[in-house]
Amino acid sequence: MGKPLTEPEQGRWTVPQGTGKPEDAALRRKRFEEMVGQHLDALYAAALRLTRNRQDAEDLLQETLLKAWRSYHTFEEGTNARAWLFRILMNAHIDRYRKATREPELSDVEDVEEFYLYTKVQESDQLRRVGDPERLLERIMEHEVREALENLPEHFRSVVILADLQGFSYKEIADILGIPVGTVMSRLFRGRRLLQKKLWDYVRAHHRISESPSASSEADAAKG
Amino acid sequence: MDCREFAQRLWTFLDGELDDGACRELRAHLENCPGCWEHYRFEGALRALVRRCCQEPAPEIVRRRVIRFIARLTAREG
Repeated sequence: MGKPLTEPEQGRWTVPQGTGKPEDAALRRKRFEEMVGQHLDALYAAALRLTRNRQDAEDLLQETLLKAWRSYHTFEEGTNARAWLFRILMNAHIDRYRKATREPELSDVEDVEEFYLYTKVQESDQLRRVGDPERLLERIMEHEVREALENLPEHFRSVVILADLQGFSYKEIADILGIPVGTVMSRLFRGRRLLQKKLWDYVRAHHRISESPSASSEADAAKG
Repeated sequence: MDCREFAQRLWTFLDGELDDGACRELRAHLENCPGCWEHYRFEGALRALVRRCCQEPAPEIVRRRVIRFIARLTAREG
């Protein structure tokens, strides 16, 4: 409390915590700017994959920054700034997105087998002759991976973005989206399975592999 | 740990969400099972591919817009 202000180090700003005194406005602005600057690339990449186009991504980013600044007084210094910013980003996205579109019910989205891509690669005699399965991934194009991700239904896409692009933990994602950890895991795993199925389509096209006849049996399954 | 249990935990392991004991078991299995090793490598490479392709730093023009936007925002409402 009564400690003297230390000189800020180069590029780093430290302020005494919890004195209850009104903060220096300029310092507060500076800290906000610095926080946003540090996480801007991550926020932009996520916004781009969520909205699927640059204009909407910029709009979402702008709205996120506006909301973040307005609630910046609630942010506790020293807590996870990245998770805090992503919570605001995701909320802003959900508000905009749910107003603008109607997604199919989750129960109507197909489910696919585990490790879809690896299993398919293993099942193909032709691909096994290529050798190391990892080498098959080299043929997949950057834009194809993006397209596969962007085509995931929104509930799955959000979780895959937070986990696989941003590296958030299950618990952090649960906090960001306000859903239970179990839901995070089921959406994440299902999203990854769908992503693998889409990527398999590209691998198949690159290697000119025709769909095996047994693969369509799932579609024929009668409803109980 | 057998191959089936390995497969059940593979993604959680890659996510860094397995506890230490389970990680040790999984690594021990990996050392002795070439098939699971190959699968592990594949899933890891796929994860890296998705991450690499879908990251995109904010273009310079966006960064500049953001800086101007924050300057206006904080000047008005600070």
